[in-house]
Amino acid sequence: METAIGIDLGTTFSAVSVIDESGKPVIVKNALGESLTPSVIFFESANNTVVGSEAKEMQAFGESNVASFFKRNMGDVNFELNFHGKSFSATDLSAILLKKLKDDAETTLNRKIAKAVVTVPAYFNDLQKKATIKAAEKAELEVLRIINEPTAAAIAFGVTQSKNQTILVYDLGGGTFDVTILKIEDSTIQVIATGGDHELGGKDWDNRLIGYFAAQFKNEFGEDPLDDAVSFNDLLVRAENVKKQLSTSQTSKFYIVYDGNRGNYEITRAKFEEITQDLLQRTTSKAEEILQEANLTWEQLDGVLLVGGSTRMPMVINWVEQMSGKPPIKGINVDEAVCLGAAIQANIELSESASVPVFSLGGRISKIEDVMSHSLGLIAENSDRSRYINSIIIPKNKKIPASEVRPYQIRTGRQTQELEIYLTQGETEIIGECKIIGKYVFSGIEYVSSGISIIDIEYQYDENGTVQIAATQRETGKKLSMEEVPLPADMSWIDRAPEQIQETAVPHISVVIAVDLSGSMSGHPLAEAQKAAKGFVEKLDLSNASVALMPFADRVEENPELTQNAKKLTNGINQWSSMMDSGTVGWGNSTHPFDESLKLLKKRDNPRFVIVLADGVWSYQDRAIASAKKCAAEGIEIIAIGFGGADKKFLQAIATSDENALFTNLENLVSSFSKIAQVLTETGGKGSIRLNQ
Amino acid sequence: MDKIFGIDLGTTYSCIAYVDESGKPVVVPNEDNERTTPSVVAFEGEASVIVGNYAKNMLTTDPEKVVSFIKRDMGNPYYVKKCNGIEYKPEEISARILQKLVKDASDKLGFEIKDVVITCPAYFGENEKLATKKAGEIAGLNVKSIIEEPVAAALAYGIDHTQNQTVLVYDLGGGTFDVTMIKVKPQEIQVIVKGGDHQLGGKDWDNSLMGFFAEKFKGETGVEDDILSNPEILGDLQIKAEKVKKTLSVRDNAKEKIVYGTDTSNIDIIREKFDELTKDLAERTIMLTNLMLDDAKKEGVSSFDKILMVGGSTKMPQIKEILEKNFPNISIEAFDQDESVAKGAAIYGQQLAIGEELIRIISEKTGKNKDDVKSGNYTEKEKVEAQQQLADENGLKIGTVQKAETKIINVASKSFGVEVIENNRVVISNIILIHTVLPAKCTKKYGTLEDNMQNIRIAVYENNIKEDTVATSDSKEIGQGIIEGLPANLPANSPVQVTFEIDREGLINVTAVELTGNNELNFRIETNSVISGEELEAAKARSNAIKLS
Repeated sequence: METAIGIDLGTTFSAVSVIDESGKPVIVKNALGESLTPSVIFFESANNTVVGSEAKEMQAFGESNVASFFKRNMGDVNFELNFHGKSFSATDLSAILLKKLKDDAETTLNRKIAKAVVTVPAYFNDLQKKATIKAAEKAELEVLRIINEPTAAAIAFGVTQSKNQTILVYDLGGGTFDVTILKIEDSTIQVIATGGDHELGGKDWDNRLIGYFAAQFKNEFGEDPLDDAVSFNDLLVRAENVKKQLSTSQTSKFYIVYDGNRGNYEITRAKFEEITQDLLQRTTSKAEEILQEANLTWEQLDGVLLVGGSTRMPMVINWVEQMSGKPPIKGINVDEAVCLGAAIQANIELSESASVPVFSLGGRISKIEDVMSHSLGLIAENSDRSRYINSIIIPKNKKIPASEVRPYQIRTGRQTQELEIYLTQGETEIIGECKIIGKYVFSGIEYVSSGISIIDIEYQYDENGTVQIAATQRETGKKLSMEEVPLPADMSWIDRAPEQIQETAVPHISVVIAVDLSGSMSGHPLAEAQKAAKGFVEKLDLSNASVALMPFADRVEENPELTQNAKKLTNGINQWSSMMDSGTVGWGNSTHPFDESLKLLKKRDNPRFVIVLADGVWSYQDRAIASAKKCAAEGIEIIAIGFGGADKKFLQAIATSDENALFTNLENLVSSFSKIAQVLTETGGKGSIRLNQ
Repeated sequence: MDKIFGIDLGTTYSCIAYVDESGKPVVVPNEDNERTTPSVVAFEGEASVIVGNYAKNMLTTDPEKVVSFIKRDMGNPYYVKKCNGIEYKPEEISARILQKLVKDASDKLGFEIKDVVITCPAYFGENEKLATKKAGEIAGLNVKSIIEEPVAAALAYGIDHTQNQTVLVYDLGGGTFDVTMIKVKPQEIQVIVKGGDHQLGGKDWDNSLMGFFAEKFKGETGVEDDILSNPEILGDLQIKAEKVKKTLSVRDNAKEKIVYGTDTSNIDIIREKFDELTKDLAERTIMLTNLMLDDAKKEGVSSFDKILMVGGSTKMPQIKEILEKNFPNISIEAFDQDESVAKGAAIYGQQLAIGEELIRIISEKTGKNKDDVKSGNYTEKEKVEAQQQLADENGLKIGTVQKAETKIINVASKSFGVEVIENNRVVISNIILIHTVLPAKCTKKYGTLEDNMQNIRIAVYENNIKEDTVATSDSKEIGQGIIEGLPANLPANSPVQVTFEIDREGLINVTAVELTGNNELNFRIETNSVISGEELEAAKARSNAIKLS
């Protein structure tokens, strides 16, 4: 019978698990009988390596031929370590570690293992995931699937649960921090939102301790013990012990022997918590950000699941209790949950590929719905073409598998042209805050008579977390041939202004979507409006368009802004529901959106649009019409869409032309909006919209 | 049906297990996710007790607050640990270990744990066993039974091995050594003879290393201080010695750094050196094994099928090597060295739980009272039906329920006798001999020493000798009782009948009757070796008042 294992390939520790005869996931011990294997490699010689506890000990001894924390460098082409004249990439090192995990598991289980599910941090990008798969292949392991660590932990937890619930997974490991919110419903685990800080982990708490003690030593003897690498390694190992000790004891002791001097120090738990308070604060901010993305509050959570060894710190447990109002969920092993979840997933994968089920699982999870951990996009130009921005194609937290098609306009020349796409990962428009992870060149774009061609770029993201990119020229319907090329070493151009070539520029469109959030919209109409607005954003070429969301009822939503960020827009649209519930803009009809729209669009060049969605009669129609006329006088085009109790005559009065006024029903709302987006994109905002046809 | 957990309360490490829903014994890891917890207790403050790894770490920083190896002092009337103004007896210190194991396990599993089976070395005497039970009581636990470690291991082994075989269980733990001959049959575990030394274990190997470290340090640094007299360094070396020993079990050499003041010495040791340092210890286990084999021969068992290595210290390659050398034609198997004892105790716990539940079911169905059912008053059909019902109600396999009938035939670990005067010499007259099958009940008649005696002292002794009369110097007094109010004018040599009864756990009950006046004395032996009275109550009260972490 075939065996597939789950592997938690961690920054500081790794573990292997398998589904046992009774259908339960269990940890497979290593050759030393340990459940966890330190992710540390000692190079005795170029070809002879020692992996695990012994290697970690060698490191503590100041042995320099030791590699650790290399997970933080996965996928980094510039990272390379040299041992005994041989160089190793992070992938090579991970392969050595994986091989050891595999060999030990084979010995312990006494059978051959060829397949595995490997977990990675939620923040890992395409390159890092590919590097992980490659490392596994080098270790002679076929990767059935790559899954995110918090998702794996949730699977391990979820299989033991019988009630539906929404939980937050707070995963603070040795080197990384992840927050994930998920819904466990019937036999499905659905990830709603996820995010993290991969520069934050238990190691930072250790470093604070070292800093604290070293400063005292320096004060006393005038020497800095951190100047010496051997001394630093020794302190690192012992500081970790102090940290762990302080999770149980109220005080702990530490000594530093350096350069013939000895300093003896003591620290209380309270002091330790004080010098690391800001680190905890960083996790707070992150958790609240993710909650906001999921449109949830602490009160709405059924519980917080702690994962990762660093969550043993009382300060974390107390904090979670304080924030969520209840103690964290018990009954899960913080070190093993990720690995056990991987074993469950491995078993599901194996069962799916086998003609007969291999095992029947004790739990009830049969389906896992994950979401994008990061937004994927490409590099585009901003509205006035003064700088490059990140234009998001698949927004973060979208359900996987995800695929999105976005139109991009380019000017075509007489010769066939090429289109360069830089794949980005990041949440804001600011390029500097994004990671550029790949370059793709599409060729064979044909000349079209209008001079502007629409290229539909499709991003696909599969369960293994890998990205596929394709492009089709809309006018010809032909799929463009694609070549993945290495990223240029010099990417400094992204920080400079794009070259101003007037004739190739496609005009930038600015759009305000003004949605009537009065009480009558509540329920199904609002849901349809949200769907329609999202569809609109998806169909629009955001590299050439900015959109502002402007919900209104008794008041207009404060500070609307024009953005090219698809993720921001999607989140904004999602928030309409809670705005409706809490009455942020009231529930009546006493205002209109045109004054605000004019204010917002004044700074922009044409083409400019206001798309108004109304479902009832506004209280002060005259004022609305007068302001709408002012907009029209400025050259802003107003498109008015109404349904339900909307007044047709009024719609025509506020629209810039009769053609721009549309009375429709709920069912057609989505298609109307997407039609508008398509026309805007295809005509660059210059053509007539002609909705009525 | 309540779950009864099995606890291996070891000298250096302890472990807790239970039989899970699928009928398999599984270990419940502690808070730190380790499957065994160091049996180390630190009294951080009056109301704060730390157990396990963090207590062990405190050996290097606050050694005066830390107790390790307490198992070696179980039953020692003179042991007391003074800390924060409180005097702690071994039972209370052991109770904290039990409490910690139970707390971590119930946190992990999400339900309360009350009923336990605790293991102790086969070689433990009466008082050590009683003290173990008391520790459970102090911890607020319901100690369903005490089971001997090699028996527990054999039980765990027997679950997966169905053919009849005679195994020599070589159990070298952190602090005790048991060597036991056991017949394992499908539904029966029969102990033939036991031997060993409960003052010999892995700790002694560590001690050899500590001595070596100290010497090396002196040689390398020229520091003349006796570093072993510094408690912090002693604690540090204790931890490092254990680490080096473990490293040398899997590698050929190990390194350790010793820091004393501002002097540092790097120790490098190869496995051969370690084996050489500890040669006498390994040889002592062989000597004890041979003694046990002699006893086995006397019981009619002169051959065995295999050696089962149990206990963490059997991971040292030198142990397998020396066994191979001395028993070249016997197969040697390492059997789940760290966990088999706890797992066996869990299996035993489940068997007890099933047994109790069956009695309840039969009694409910037939209307017979429970004691009646317990004494065997039921038909085969009633039993089979009850087994099926129990299996259905608890989601157990019927095989698991049937297997719970596994019989454990144990033998007395010691000979037990009374102090008598024979030919003007004080000697011990053994009433129950070592290796007598349990439960056992033996009676012997004695006469009063002189005329007109007003009371008689019954002093109970234990020893390892299978002979009727033994010198007091070879025996250990384990308690006494006094028969008072004898009839007046009782002539010398009036008959006194002494009965010793040992239950399945090996615990003794003594009855003495002065036959002329029919004065009966029935006592659980009174001894100051086991905590009792006010001390016991104070220890129990502290169990609820402390914060345990």
